[in-house]
Amino acid sequence: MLAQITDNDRIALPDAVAVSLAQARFCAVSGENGRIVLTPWGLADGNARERTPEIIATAQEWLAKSEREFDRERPLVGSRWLWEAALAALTAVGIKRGCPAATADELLQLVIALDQDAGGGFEHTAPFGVAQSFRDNADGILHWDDFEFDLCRPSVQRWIAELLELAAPGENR
Amino acid sequence: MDFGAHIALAHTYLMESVRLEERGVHQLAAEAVWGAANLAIEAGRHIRGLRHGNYNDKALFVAELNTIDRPQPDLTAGLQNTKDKLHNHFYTNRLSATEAAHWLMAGRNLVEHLLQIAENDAIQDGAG
Repeated sequence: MLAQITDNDRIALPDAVAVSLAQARFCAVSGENGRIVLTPWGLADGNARERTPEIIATAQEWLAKSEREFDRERPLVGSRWLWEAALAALTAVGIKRGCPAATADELLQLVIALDQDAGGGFEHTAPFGVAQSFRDNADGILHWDDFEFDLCRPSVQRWIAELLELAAPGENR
Repeated sequence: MDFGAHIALAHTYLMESVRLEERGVHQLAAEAVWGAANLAIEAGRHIRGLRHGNYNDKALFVAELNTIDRPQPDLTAGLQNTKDKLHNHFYTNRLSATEAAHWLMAGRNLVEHLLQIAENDAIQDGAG
């Protein structure tokens, strides 16, 4: 049973619980040291594929929310939503590939697999890494200036849009 | 330093990063790649008559390479990851072994692209 959480809720759980949840793939995971964010969908009830359109719509909504926050000159809040949108898009892609990622290393393995599908460059891991940097800014681990926020947003936004196309129900691309 | 010295030192740091990674010293390997990336960018800037710059100057230069040069990987994202992953890892040791291995590989790939661009520019500059 997952709690339904609102946009601004963040739930920090003890490491053991976080690991257990991650292993059960109940949720997407972000943050460091076992701190996780429960996203408002559950993947443990066997209907992950059915919920893909909802997850894609959520990612699109969060991407738009991120943009609005940047427009309001709140880059840290915008960064948080950009990362959450990326995570939601990756969750949808993972579901489509039958391997939803939970831990940080699993997420990296997923995007490495996407790189390989795309031709073996860094087409997905590069923007993924930058998306993580947006998260790290939101978490207060990195401290970008306005220049970096402006420079890096387009590549992550383009990438999320690409992920959402990959995740869309239908033929595998 | 002149163009050749930047290029030579970038290659040295790249090789050093491989040697350090093979010894399991990921943090130092990460900083060696960060150093190599900076030298490769400075080499490219030197060819185009630009003086030493701060990080934003370098990032802007790399962003312009993405738009004016032939098709290539997202150099802007690559440089940002080299700073935020590898340079950061040097003093925080935050990357897992899996992450360190991947970002070291990605960072070296970026440096090789930047060196290739700088060396091509130098050839054209000499020919012109």
